[in-house]
Amino acid sequence: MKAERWQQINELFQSASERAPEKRAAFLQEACHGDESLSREVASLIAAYEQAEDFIESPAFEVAPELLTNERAGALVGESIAHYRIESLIGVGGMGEVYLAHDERLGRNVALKLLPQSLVADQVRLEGLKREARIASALNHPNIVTVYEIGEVDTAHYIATEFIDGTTLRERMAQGPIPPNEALEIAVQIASALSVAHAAGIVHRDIKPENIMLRPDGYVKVLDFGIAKFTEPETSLPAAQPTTLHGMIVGTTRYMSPEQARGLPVDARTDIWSLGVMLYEMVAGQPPFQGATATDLLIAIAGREPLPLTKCATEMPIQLERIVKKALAKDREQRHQAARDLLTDLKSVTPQLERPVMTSGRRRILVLAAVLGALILAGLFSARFLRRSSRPPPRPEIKSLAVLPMANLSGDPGQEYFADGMTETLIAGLARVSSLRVISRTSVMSYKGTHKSLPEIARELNVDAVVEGSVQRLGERVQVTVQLIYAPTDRHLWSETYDRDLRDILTLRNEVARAVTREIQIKLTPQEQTRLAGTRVIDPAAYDYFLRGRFHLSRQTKADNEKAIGMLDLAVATDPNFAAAHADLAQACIWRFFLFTPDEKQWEEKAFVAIEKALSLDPELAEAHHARGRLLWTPSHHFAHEMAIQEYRRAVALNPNLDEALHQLALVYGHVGLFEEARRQLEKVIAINPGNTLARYRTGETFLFQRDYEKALTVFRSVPMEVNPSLVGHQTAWALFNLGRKEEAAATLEQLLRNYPEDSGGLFTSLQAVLAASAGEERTAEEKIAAAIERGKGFGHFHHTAYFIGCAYALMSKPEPAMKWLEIAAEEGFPCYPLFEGDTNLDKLRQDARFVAFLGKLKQQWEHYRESL
Amino acid sequence: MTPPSPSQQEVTRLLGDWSGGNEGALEKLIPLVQPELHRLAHYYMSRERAGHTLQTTALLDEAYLRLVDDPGRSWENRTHFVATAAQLMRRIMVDHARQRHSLKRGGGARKVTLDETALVTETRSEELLALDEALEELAVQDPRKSQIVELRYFGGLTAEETAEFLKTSLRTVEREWNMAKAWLYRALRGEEADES
Repeated sequence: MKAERWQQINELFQSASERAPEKRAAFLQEACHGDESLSREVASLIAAYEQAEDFIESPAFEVAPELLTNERAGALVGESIAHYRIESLIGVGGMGEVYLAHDERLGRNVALKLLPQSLVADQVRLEGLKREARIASALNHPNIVTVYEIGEVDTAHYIATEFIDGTTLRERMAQGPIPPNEALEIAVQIASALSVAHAAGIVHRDIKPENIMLRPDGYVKVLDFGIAKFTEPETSLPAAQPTTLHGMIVGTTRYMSPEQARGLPVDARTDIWSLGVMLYEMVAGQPPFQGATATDLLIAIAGREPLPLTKCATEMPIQLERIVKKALAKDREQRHQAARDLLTDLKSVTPQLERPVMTSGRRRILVLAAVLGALILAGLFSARFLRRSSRPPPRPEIKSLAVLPMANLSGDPGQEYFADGMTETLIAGLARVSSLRVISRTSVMSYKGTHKSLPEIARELNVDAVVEGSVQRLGERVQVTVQLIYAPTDRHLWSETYDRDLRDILTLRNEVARAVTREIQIKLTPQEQTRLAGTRVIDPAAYDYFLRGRFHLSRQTKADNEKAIGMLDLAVATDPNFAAAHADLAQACIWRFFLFTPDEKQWEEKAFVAIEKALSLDPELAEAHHARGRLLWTPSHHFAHEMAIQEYRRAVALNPNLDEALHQLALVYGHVGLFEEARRQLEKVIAINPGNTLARYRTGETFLFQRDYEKALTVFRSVPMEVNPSLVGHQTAWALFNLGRKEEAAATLEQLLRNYPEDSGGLFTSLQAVLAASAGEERTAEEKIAAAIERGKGFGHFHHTAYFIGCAYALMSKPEPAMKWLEIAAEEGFPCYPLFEGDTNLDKLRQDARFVAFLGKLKQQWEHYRESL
Repeated sequence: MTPPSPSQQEVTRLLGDWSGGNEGALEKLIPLVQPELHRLAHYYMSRERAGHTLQTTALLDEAYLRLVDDPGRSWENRTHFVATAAQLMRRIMVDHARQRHSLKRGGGARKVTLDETALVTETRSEELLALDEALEELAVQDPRKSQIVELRYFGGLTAEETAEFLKTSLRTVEREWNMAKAWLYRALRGEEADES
């Protein structure tokens, strides 16, 4: 790169980084004078700057001191120590180096552990270790690795043990969840080892998957009895937890019991806890306790209840949940008090599995017998637990489903938005399938962290099946595990783990959508097939901004709106070809002027540009058509009802489950007086998104426009005011007024004005004018009208204010201004003929020739809508 | 006071040569300084087990006292030593990381399993190698940024000390550091994606 260019980047970076985060994107756009590549470069540096946090803030030596002390591992291969010829290095860890060695005297292979110098140097600890190892060497049990010898030559101290040719449980776990029957068998063997060791007075204190070996013949071997604890620092202070240079905690704490975490003395029940953690992790495929930092993890261990195992794993014997729960009791008095008890408990699920303690003379024969026995039993197991899948019943019919919030496996709460974004992305992928009803985002998100069972959730959402899973983001990779469950029977139909580059996130989404539709045997239309086959690469940083932007977009406060625009600006600056980000940016801009700053016309232009850009990139992007519809249905476009409806229809055709577009359709239908059609759309919205309370409000609104005030009021009362206080509030008051409950209406309005003094659009004030007019208080009415106009100018829903002003003048028998305001209401988006035609508040105008003509025109228009929309 | 040992005199002389612009002096310094850094690192790590915090500054100060003949304990000499040591620390740690890395990539006949402690080291090794490489690239574009990172990250110098050593303002050091950090962070993220 040329020096000047670098200098330029440097300067822009400095200026941008000194600005508030939300102002950076706008600053760059302006400062780069259209130099796209410059602005991209600086934006990506700024993004890195925002994410880097503690990166390299602590000096290298303090983070990774072992890299300064390192002596080259594996250097001893080919040499001999005592009578052991060293063949190869098989492992490196806190225990030092472990070699495969050949015992020249006895002619057998051994695992030779060379103790690290730091341990050897500590005489007290070294002696303690030798003593324990000697006691452990007396243990004779097929699930315990036999200690042969503890010795020293020159300054080298070593421990020779039985050599196990197998894999560690950690390696097995890395391949995904272990089927419950297999996990049980492993747990039984570990519990069996523990019960013998505990009886001999030896507590392992470091039961973890790295210390469990699985042999190909099914034998499970526990390593390092009596030894492991000497490899750990004396105190396990959270501060001493290892982190990577990026500051990520690597969990050696994960299997620690609450008492260990607190630094209290431990006993056999600590091993029981650790086995509980492993059993959970084996079956669930994720650890029961997680935390972004060691402290978080310790807090979780000490105080948090893990997600019920039944939520993480399907087809699991129900007793297992109870056993794991007991083993993971925070209070050790509540746990199994001895490994033998746990073993008995586990065996109640898996009878006859224990391998008896054997005397060495008969070992070989008995081992053979045990292996045969295990094989037979394994056969029984599969028959017992997997019976359902061995005779698969026909696939149940699935026409609706919900994607539950994906679990965030990163252990970092800061990644929550990413897991949520993935949930949303999967919903969006599946929602494109027309023959499938997919519950929308807002409804499923309320189930985050719930303890409800899947069938229960499915019942509440009225769906046949649920998709659930987990997300883990590792740098630029993302790992997603998805499973499809038939809800009524909690039956597991399909699951798959995807490991992808972040860039391919949309491809991944489509892959999952295709796989799910294949599994539930839904026929895709040719267009759907094309759409789901489409692949496009997205810049990961842009995707990240996009998800953050969407997160803020989902909350309709002004501050969130500003953040959403900031993030989405960055998303499109980072990846200018990211259609969905352009569409969302448009959406955010539209809300900005419709809800918050009606005077700032630049948002309208920005929205327009973003929509056109999105559609030029992807003409089939439902969200962009939806945004275009919204932009058309605004004061400056004179609420182009027909065009807006066309756009919404197009959006719904492309994505039948885009409930926002369906809601907008209903909104327009309601405003032009086509109530049946509006309610038809709203029913669809509520089927997709039972939690869409705004849709419920709209249903009430259609009754209100039909002058069924009683029914409208009942509906409004069931909608939380926070959904949209100015809309729900004023319509409630209007319904009360029309039911003759004028005092209640007045009290409601006063209350609303106290709570929401800004009175968006002047709606409350205009209704107060109506109340004053109907009470004959003309002066008050005029004052209120003036105030309402002042407040409501430019506001998206001002047509209602105008209508109420018209009503107020009609009640005061002032046909001139009444007509003027009614015409404004109709022209500015509210030509609701049935309402104008029937509203008794307008009765004093009914003889007026101008009103008759106006109504005639409205009727004509309405009939046209009825025929054509 | 004990008279300076021959090796102390040698280290002092080489430090002088090196700061006087003789690049070859560094190669001669390494074998003299490295064992002491090793030894001290071991010592500090065992202290860490007893609950003390690891501090690069403390380590290098002590190395300085042992290695350099500087009865006046001048600030300038000490800083020069630390600046040199920062380079040495980088060199040593990166070499070790490379060894660890090659070990996992088939150093033995069998596939080596690593427990969590070793896995952490392995991850750190990979990250450190990537960082070193990125720092090298940064030096091509902007040597001063690279030097600031070396001084602070490997030498444990504070921003203030770095500014004094480079004879510039604290604000400049902080600004340069911010961008260097962002640049390196981005480079490392890219690195990870390429590897996996």
